[in-house]
Amino acid sequence: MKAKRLIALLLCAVMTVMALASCAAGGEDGKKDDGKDSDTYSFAFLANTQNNTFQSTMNDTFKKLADEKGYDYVCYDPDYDLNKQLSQMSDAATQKFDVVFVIPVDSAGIRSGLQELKDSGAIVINVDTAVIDEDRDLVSTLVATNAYMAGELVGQQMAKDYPDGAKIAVLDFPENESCVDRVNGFLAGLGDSKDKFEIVAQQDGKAALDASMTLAEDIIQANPDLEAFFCINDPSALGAASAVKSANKKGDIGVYSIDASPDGKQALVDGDFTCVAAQVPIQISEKAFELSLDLLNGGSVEAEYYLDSMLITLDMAKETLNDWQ
Amino acid sequence: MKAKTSTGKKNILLNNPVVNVVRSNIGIICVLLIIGVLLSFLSDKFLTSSNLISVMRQISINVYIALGMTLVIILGGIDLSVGAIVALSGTVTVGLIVNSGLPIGAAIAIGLLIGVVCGFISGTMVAEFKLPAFIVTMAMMNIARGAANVYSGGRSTRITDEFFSSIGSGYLFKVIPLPVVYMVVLIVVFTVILNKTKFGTYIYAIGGNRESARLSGVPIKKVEIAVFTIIGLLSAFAGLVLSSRMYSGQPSVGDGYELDAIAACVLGGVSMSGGKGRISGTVFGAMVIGFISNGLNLMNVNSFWQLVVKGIIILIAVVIDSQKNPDSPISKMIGKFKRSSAKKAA
Repeated sequence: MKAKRLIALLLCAVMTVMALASCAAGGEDGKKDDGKDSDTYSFAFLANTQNNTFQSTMNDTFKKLADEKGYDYVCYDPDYDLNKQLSQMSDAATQKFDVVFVIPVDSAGIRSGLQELKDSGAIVINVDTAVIDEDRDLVSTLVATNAYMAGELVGQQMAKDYPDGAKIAVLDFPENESCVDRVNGFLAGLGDSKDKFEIVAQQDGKAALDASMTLAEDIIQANPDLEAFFCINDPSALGAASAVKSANKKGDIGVYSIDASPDGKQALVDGDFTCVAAQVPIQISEKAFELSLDLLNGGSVEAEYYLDSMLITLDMAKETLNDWQ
Repeated sequence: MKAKTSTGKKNILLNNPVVNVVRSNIGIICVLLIIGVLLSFLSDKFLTSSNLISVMRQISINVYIALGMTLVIILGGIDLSVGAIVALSGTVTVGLIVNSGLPIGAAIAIGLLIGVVCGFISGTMVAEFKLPAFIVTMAMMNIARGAANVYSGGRSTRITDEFFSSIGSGYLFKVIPLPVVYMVVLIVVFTVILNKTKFGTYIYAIGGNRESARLSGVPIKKVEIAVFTIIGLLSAFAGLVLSSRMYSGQPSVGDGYELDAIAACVLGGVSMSGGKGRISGTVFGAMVIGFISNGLNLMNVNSFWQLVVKGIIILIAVVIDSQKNPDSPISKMIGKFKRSSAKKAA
C-alpha cells in the first residue's frame, strides 16, 4: 500500500515536471516564430560534448555573442555519439534555425544531417574539426585552429630542447581528424633533427586523463630512458604528467601538449608541462559568429579560415590562468 | 566427507587457508601464471619490481569496486552505477575543497556519503519495490553522471593540495603505494565479511535460493540494502583515490568501470546467477585483466589490437576456468572418453 501511494506520488511529480518543461519549450517555439518576422535570428551550436572546457568555452562565447544582439541561441550535446548527433541535426532542421555551427563527431559521418540542415535553409558553418572534403559543399565555410601548425610549433620546440635527439612517446587520438593533424604537424616540426628522435611508443590515449595516465605509466616502465611525451591535448598530457610524477621523474621526462586550457596553463606554471601550444576556441567562435552575420546580410565568405596557434610562454600562462587563449 | 576419512596430514593441508584459496581458484591461477610467463618472455620489463608495483597500483581502483561487485553478484544482482559514482564523488570532493574551501576531511566525508546515499537509494528501490537491479542501477548511473556534470559544469577541477594528492600518490615505507595498501586491507576485510560473518552467509543464502532464505528467516531486504550501500561506498572511495591520483576531479572519468569490475568477478568464478563466488577469485580476475593490459602496453601493441586481444584472452580464460565445473562440455567430453576407454579396457 505504502509503495503504491509512493509510486502514485512519484508519477504525479514526473508529470508536473514534464508539463512545465513542455510549457517552457512551447514558449521558446513561440518566440522563434515571432523572430522570423522581425530582425532577430536563431542560432544553434551542434557540439561534440560539453564535458570538455574547449567546447564549453566555445558555447559560452557563442551564447555571449548571441545575447549581446538579442538573438536566440541553443547548444546541443551528443556526448560523442554520432547517432545522437544525427538525430540532433534532424531536430535542428525541423526547428529551422537561421545559422547552425557544427563540430562533427565523425568527420565523414554527418553528410545526411548536413543535407537536412541545408534543405531547411540554415546557414551551416563547420567549426573546430573539419568535415571531409567531399562534404564541404554542404557547409558555407570552415573555421578552425591550425592544428597542423600547433603540432609543428611543439615539434620545433622539442627539437630545440633536445638538440641531440631523444627517446620520446606519443599519446595520440586517431579517431579525430584534428588530432591526427597535430601529430603530423609535430613530426614535421621536428624537422631536420627528426632522425635523432626515436618514438619508442605511440598509443591511443583517447584524449582522456585516466586512460592516458595508465598508458604513460606502462610506457615509463617499458622505457626507463624515456625523455619526453608528446600528447595531443591537455587532458591526455595531464595524465602523462601524473604518471611522470608518480614515477618520481618530474623534470627528467618532458611533457609537451596542445590546447592551453586553464588546467594546462596551471600545469605549465607548476612545471608539470614543459611546453604547450594554444588552441583558440574563443577566436574560433568569434570568427564563426562574425562570418555568419556576413552571410545573413548577403555577403560572401571564403571556403576556410585557419586561425594561428602559438606557443604559450610562462608569462602568458600566468596572465590568463583562468581562461582559454 | 573425504577429509574425515583421510589421514591427519591431509587434514592439515585441507584446512590450510592458502591451500584452500589455490584449490578453489585453480583455473584462474593457471591463466594468471600462463600470462605471467608469456609476458616475462615477451617483455624484459614485465617482471621488474617497479613494473609489478605499478600494475598493482593500476588495478587497485578496479579491485575496490570489484569487491563490492562480488557481493552484489553473489546476491544475484548487478550494479551498473559504480563508474558514475566514481566520477560524482571525485568531482564533488575536489570541488568542495577547491571551490567551496571546505576542510579536506569534511569534503572527503561528504564525497563518501554521496556514494553511500546513491547505493542506499538503489538498494532500497531493489529491495522495497522488487525492481530489477539492472534497471535501477542503470537509472542511478545516469543520475550520478548527470549530477557530476551539473555540479562541475562538465569541467575538470585541478587540485594541488599536498595532503589530498598524497592519499592516492603517497607510499608506505617509501615502496608500497598507498592505493595498494588500501586494496590489501579491503581484501582482508571483505574476505572476513563474506566468510566469517552472519551477513556473509545471508548473502550466499539469498543468492543461492531466495525463497528458502526467506523461509529460514533471512532479513532479505536489509541485506540487499546493505550490500548496495557498501558498493556505493566502495565506488565513492575509488573516486576519491582516483581523483587524488589524477590531481583533479573529472566528471567524465569512470566510463566503463562497471564492466571492468564485472569482468574481474566473472573471470574469478563468481556466478552471474548468484550464490557462488569468492573474494580471492575476484582479486585474481582483476590481476589477469591488469596484467594483460599492462603487458600489451609494455610491448607497445596498437590500442585497437589491444581490444581484440583482451577480448580473446578473457574468452579463453573464462573457458579454462569453467572446466572445473563437471557440467561443462569439455569435462563431459573427457568423462565420455574416460568411460569409453574404460569399457574398451574391460
